[in-house]
Amino acid sequence: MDRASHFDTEALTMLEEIMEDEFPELVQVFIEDSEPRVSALRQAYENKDCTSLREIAHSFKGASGNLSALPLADLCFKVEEKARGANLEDIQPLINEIDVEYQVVKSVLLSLIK
Amino acid sequence: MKILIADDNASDRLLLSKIISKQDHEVIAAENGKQAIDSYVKYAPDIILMDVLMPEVDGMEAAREIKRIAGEDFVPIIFLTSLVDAQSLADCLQSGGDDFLTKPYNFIILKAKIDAFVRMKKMHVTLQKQRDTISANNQHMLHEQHVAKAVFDNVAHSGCLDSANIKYMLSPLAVFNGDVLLAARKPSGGMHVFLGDFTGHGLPAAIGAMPVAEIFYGMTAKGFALRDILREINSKLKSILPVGFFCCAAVVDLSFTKRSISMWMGGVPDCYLLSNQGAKLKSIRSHHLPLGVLSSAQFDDEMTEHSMGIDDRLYMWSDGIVEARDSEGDMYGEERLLDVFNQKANPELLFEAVKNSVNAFVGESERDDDTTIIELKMVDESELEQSASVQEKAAITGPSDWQLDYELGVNSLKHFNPLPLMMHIMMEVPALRSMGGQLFTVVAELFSNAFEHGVLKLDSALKSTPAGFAEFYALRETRVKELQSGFVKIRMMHTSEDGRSGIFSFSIEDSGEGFKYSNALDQSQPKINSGTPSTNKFSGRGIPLIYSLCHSLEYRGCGNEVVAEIHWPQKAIVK
Repeated sequence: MDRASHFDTEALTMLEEIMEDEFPELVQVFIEDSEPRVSALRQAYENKDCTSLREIAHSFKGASGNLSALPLADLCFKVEEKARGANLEDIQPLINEIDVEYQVVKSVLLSLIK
Repeated sequence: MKILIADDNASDRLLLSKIISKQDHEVIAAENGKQAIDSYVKYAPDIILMDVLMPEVDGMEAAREIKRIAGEDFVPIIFLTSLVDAQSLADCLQSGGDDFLTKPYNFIILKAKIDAFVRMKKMHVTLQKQRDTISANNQHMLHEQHVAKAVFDNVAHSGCLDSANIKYMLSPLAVFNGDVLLAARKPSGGMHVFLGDFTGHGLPAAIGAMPVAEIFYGMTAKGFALRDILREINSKLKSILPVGFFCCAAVVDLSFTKRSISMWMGGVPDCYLLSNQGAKLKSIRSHHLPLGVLSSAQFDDEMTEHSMGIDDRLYMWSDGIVEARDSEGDMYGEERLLDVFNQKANPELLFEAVKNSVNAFVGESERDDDTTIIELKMVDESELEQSASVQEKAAITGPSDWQLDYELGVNSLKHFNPLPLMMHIMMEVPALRSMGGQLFTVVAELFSNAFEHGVLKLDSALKSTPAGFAEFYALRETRVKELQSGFVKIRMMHTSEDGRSGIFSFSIEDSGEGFKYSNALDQSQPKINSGTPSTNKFSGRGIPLIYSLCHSLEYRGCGNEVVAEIHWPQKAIVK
């Protein structure tokens, strides 16, 4: 796995240092929080609920950004922006990308705490 | 410090909590805006980190509410946001945020910002504490000043200032000023007036007034001359005031009977003496340095004499009058003052005219000096007696109607000299102080007669030769030692009709056998006084001298009792 294409590795290292033995807990909390988000995004898209789309994407963006998963945060930001503009075009593929990217991020993080 | 973190993202909360606890701060976490407000109320955190977009109540709304609750307490709120457009960031600050931090966090900047706000918070807490301390101190000081001012006013502007011949104006300044105005009637008649202006303002200036007033009233009541009072005040001020602090003063000894004043002026503006129904104006210049400058040795107590007819007036003021400023900062000046006098108004209205002129000039502007002015009018002293205050003031000048019986038994007579005690009691009467020497002679002579000739039964004839003198004292010593019985009874009595005259009576009775005094004593008194002491029986007892000092001297009983009367004020002794 090419970690650098999914994370800001420098920031990730720093994060590990800062969190010390609480890093695994941080990873678990992040995964618990994020797990329902992808399906929540899909649900909101089907309901054409731009507000929910924007809020979920925004939160997801913040959380993944702080875990230094910048490509994932970028994808979330795109959804957030489109939802803000009530533009549902191309959202479906973006959600798919988020789903894929999240699975990678998750496996990388889990590998770090084993 | 207690730091509240409000973020709906569990992972973000965890991350921030970790960073902040590593900086040794206590962390309180909230998951939304509502919890943030509740936690603020419950835990009173010092700093708040707040996510902008949160469910329930969002960050900006929570910030507004928290700032409202905090009131004047400073609670820094740092917004956590991944919003990047300028308007969103500006909105954060608009809602009451103090700063923002964009996600993803840069840990170094996060730490630095928290440190910065911790410093700011500490500074604010210190400032608030200091503000509260200052406010409390100020309250305390105002209260103290209020109490002290009441005491000061009682001390510094008292005495007989309300006499019929005095008009005065005191500075209207609410707090302490350095001006002192004192007036006191002299026990022997006449009046002392003291107008003083201490350097500076406020409490430091006022505090010097206390000893001045003490000395002025105390010594005047005891009958001291004004020169002595001035010397005492000068030396007191010299010793207690720091260098550079002194008291400018105009001091007057006013004699109603001589129709004149003696003045001492040091460092004050010219005083004006208005005579001939306002036709003649004479200015009197200060020739001395202020009080408290020179040592006693260098101090010059020379006073100038000025005669004053009935209704002539003396005006004295502190330099606050001359230096009073109007709203433009111009000084009132001596010329304006002189103009008022030169208008030759009715002298009766002049004081009001001066007062009005100064007040009109100063107007509403802040007075920067203390303005004190006094008018002193020459009147018949009898006019003053009509004012009610005189009787009242007379009471504080000492006991006037009293009687004391004092009996000394054998042991006391052997070992105790009652003269100092008796003198002390007499000296409480102000009018008797000036006769202290004379009273002492009378009392001492009569007491030793009673003790030596009466109780000890020594013969006065012994003292007529030098050898007899020695024998007398040897015998006296033996008899004192051997004394088994005897007494001396002393009675002192003082009465005063009106505080202006009085009678002091001193009687003494001993346990001795008395002696043969002339039955025609009363009739022979003038003869005795006229200088034939050697021919009468009293010669050995020093009686002729006492006769000359007393209004009357009368022996009673078998000659073991004698009553001396002294009247005051003293008329010229009849020869």
